[in-house]
Amino acid sequence: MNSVSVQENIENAFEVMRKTYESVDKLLVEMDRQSVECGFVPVIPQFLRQKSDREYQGWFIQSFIKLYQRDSAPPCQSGNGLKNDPIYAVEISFKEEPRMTLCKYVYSTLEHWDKPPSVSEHWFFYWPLYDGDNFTDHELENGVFRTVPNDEKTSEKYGKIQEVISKKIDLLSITSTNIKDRVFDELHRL
Amino acid sequence: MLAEIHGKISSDGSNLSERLEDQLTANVFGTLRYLPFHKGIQPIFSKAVFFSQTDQTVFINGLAAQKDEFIGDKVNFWVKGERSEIDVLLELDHLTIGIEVKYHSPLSSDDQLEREASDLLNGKGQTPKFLLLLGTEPEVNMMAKKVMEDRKLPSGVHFGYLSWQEVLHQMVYVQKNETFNEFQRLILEDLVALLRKKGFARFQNFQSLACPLVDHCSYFHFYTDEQFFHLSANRIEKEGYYEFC
Repeated sequence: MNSVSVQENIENAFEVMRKTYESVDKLLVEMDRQSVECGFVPVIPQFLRQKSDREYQGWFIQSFIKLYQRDSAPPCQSGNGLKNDPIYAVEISFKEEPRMTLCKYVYSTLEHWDKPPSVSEHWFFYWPLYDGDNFTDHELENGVFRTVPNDEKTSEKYGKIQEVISKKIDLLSITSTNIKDRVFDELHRL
Repeated sequence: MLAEIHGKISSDGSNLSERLEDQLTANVFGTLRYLPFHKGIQPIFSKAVFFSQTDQTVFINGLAAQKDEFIGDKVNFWVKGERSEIDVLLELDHLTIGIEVKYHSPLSSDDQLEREASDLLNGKGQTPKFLLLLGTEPEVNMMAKKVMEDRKLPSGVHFGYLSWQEVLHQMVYVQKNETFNEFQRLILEDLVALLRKKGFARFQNFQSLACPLVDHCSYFHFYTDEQFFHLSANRIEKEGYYEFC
């Protein structure tokens, strides 16, 4: 490939990335809008993400996690701003093929959390899905997985997590008109 | 233009950055009032969301009952009441609509909408009073929901919300109306272009990224096994420095 086409290719690559980020931004806004109609509320307005200056992989975001809870769930009595109910999450991932993972994080209670998660606490929801050394997956049915911590120490580290129920779907199949069906109805079913 | 006429933006534009909200208000509603009511404001406002079906019905019926096409003189900006200033006030034949416009900023105080609602109630006329919060998704939905949960608004004012994204969405829909003349069509085109430029278009899908194609085998690469630079260790001479001239 000559230098002109390499130049064009880099330009294209960044353009594709910018446009992809733009679509993700719009998708996140649209999900928040529709979440209210589908009986969910965002836990915090922002998405969670991992960023790092030290590693180049951390310069761009490859995993976006947006947290929701069921609107009808009772608030924690400790007044920590959370509802005493599972936390639902939508992960948008570009680590491999563009993918969306719908998740339900189940805890015995959330009363002991002192506040809602912050933007940088991405790891707290990310590793239960991807750390095969400390968590074990079992497929239930129709591509739904149940992931459990291998020991009490891991469960404690991740806010006394009991299990994560999750399902992966193709991100590119999501459109403005099927968000309710493919995202929120699916979250309700987990 | 209207923001400057009303003194929201100084004539030299020096306070423009903190007045973007007022400029957007004036640009959109100042322009919308040039359009026939049934081809602009009515279909756009019909998408406002209320928390009770009764409110929604009274609102839609009130809009539908408006007979005049020209309502430019019924749209007023930054109307000062006893306790508040309402960004846009529409005094239609069958309903009064106060609009609080938000763009990037939150409500100015906890009781801002409460004060506006009470000024609306005290206003002249016996028509049903509506207070609309117009803002950006998803914040506007959350803000409106919280206002309803706090239950601080005086009864007698029907509260609802509308988003900029929905306004744009409706404008694009309205554009399909074939009875527009060329003046009206141009007005709407400009408004749609402005709201798109502001980034109010909603997510559609990812498929529009089919091109340009990027070949992953032709990435950019730094070769680290070659020496790229060399530091000279020569003695530095006084006044022997390098200078741009």
